[in-house]
Amino acid sequence: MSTIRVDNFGPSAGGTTYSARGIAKAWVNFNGTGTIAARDSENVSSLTDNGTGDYTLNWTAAFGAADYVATGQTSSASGTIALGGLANYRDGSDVITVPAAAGWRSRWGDGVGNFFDPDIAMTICHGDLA
Amino acid sequence: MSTLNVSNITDGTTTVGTSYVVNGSAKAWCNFNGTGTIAIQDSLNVSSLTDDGTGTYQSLMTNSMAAANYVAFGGGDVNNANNDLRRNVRLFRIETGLVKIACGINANSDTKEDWTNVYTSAFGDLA
Repeated sequence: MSTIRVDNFGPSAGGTTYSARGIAKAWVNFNGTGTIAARDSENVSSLTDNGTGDYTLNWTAAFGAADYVATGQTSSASGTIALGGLANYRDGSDVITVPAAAGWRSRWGDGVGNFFDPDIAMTICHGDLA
Repeated sequence: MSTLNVSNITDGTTTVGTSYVVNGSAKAWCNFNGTGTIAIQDSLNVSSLTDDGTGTYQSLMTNSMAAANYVAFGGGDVNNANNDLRRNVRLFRIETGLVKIACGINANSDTKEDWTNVYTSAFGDLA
């Protein structure tokens, strides 16, 4: 068995970029009810509770631009069948949920027209760090 | 081109088997503008997009997956004054070289709509 210790790695000329660019640069599993808290995470410095179903995920290391891929899913610690998920809209007067380089303000809906606090929220982001 | 063949990778604190890096890395991801003339904003292993009508798209891979049994995710957002929270993304077909995506509102009667930003990612084995 061998172990290689490096701080950074990337493809050589002509090589593929799947490892460097395909690795998730941020992910978190957090409790969105009550006092929100991350259960486990990578590259997440803090979470901000902005209100019902409204959280800002702050990155420890920022992305290089706001064009990364951000996806999410909910679950339920109680096993309740929940159809909620990311609430995918924004408008001129409301919160911008599109990812930003330093973080992502995400909003979550219950699937029937209301914001809600999921007890298990999971997100994962792919892109290039700054 | 060089190939490094090792069993584990470590950052000095956490050690992980290289297979997790190789097999756990996304093999494709794409952030694209889904309105007007659709366009890739950033991507990995995505050759092109097709606009199949309102709220319906295909994301085509440069290098195909080995089989149509990989894991794919979708997401996005829409800049729309209608703040309907029943919006959703569905990857309604997964083929080795592409995913087909539908964006819209899941109500009693689905309404497809073009979204401002659409995100997809795929995990599995390349061909």
